[in-house]
Amino acid sequence: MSFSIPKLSIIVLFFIATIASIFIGVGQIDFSEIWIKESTSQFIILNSRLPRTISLIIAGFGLSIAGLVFQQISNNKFVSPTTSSGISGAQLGLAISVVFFGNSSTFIKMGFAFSVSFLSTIIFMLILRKIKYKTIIYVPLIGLMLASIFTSFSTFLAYSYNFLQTLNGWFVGNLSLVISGRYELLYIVIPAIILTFIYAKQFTIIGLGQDFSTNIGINYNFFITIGLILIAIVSASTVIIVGNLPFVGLIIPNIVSHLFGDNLEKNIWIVGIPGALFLLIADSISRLIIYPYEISIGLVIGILGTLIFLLILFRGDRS
Amino acid sequence: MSIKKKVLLLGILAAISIIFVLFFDINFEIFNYAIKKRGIKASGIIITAISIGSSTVLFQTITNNRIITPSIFGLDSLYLLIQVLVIFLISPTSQLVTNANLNFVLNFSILVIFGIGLFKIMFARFDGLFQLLLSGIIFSTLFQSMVSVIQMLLDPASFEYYQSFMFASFNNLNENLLWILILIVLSIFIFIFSRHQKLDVLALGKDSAINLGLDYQKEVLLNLTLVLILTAVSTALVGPITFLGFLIVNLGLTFLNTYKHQYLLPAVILFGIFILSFGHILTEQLFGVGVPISIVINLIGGIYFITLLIQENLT
Repeated sequence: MSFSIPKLSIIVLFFIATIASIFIGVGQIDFSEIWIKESTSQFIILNSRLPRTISLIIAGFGLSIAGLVFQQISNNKFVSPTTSSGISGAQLGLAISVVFFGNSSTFIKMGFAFSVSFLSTIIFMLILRKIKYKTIIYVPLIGLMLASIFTSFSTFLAYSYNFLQTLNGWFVGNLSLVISGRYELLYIVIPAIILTFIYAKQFTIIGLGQDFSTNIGINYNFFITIGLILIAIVSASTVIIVGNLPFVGLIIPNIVSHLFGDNLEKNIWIVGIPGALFLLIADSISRLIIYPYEISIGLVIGILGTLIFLLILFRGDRS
Repeated sequence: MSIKKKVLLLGILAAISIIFVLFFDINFEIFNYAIKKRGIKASGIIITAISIGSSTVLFQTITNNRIITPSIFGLDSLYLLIQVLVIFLISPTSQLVTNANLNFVLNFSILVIFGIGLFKIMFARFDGLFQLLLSGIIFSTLFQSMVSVIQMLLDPASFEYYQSFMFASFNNLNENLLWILILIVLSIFIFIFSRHQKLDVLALGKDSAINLGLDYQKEVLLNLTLVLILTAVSTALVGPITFLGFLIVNLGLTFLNTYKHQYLLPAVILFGIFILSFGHILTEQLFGVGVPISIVINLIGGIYFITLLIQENLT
């Protein structure tokens, strides 16, 4: 692993943003109190700040790695959980669990969100394989169409049971409710990330196509399934704990492969850091812009993401 | 059955379904009042079918793709954003919301200005559709995230108002507006139809079209502008029905088995009239007013979309 200057500066920025994220907020933190047991400062940090920062880091890592793997196995730079059915599938699963199991435990909600998200990503991949004429832009467009099907199913459910506003509210990216005891489900993303690290080489290879990977002895279907499970786990758990965070899985992998090239095995450990950095910055903005109140991180990401994306689009034109 | 006969058959079906919309289970004691109300709904259905039908056919011809619909590139979500912003910032009972004419003009002009602006910027810098579609996706995502944040802040009563805009309906249409729109939509349709041979050439793809002597860039820009205006009309008038365009174009293609625009355009529109009328009667008369028509159409269209894509090799 060589540390080039861009890599090093991203890592340094990431640490600064992490520290800043812990100390930004309304509650005053007294540095001398932090290590004193049961002091207010320690209580705030342990129960509110750390959970929030940890969830941001996990979600950022998870979403950008899931995006990278998704782009690799579908061989398309514009595929991500948001521009396919991953997120809306998780939302439908959540809606189903609410309708049929009422106010059940987070675990059951997670199970449903994961299953439907997984199913919807499988449908997306099936469709991708069926389409012969895969222009780069039509794949995300089909993904969006598929996503709107799942959205219309959940809208139908929510409309019939009169919880449309509540349902839509759950999906707004929001970290103000992330406190200890409410976010631990996100840790399920960590083993998924480790699994991706282990299989990074295989994911690079299956990106080259079924024939090629079978030829050199890689079980294509097995690794596609592993990839889809990873994507579904990340989509479902982030949607349930922090809501919909668009753009992260789309933009970050593209920036990383622009900066460091397309070798997944080399990039996979670095791609999570800018993802987490992006979320940490967006969250700090959302907490500071109307201080002492905060706005939704989903909105900040939406605006930042659009700007970055257009910048990339126009800059790419020049070079 | 020849193609012409098939189109004729569709015409008869569409006419019957419109007659159903007008007279099904009508209350004769208030016949004059009721027929006027239903006439308005029927014209709303016809306008929507013409604009969604022709815009989707045009859009798919330009993009050489039989799956996507024009509303996907941001217009649907921009429409919702405008409505939710007006309700949130001004008031749910403001004239801009309650007056159908004002609401239409507001939405229509913003949608068209947004679309033209996007075309201008993207076509000035790039020479393809690619960047246009891509930026459409991006803006769509942005609008959606803004909508979801703002609608969360609405109080439940205001949300009820907003919810009525989320689903297409033919129940809140204004008579005066409809007459103007029918004229506009019909003349655009006649213009498109008169150029059906050029569209056939365009459908062959960029390279073939240029080889055959078509001014490709100009043709794409002209047709995209028409798509934009038609989509803006139907969205601003009744609201978003994402899957209607997809549904009727593919029904038309499967039924006629031809790509010739001369037959495809009318067939798609007639299918549109048939499905909208049928859906309208079904949702209004049978289900009660419980389920909005766009939910039903999106469900049916969505299932059709998945099965079609999984069964066949499209495009």
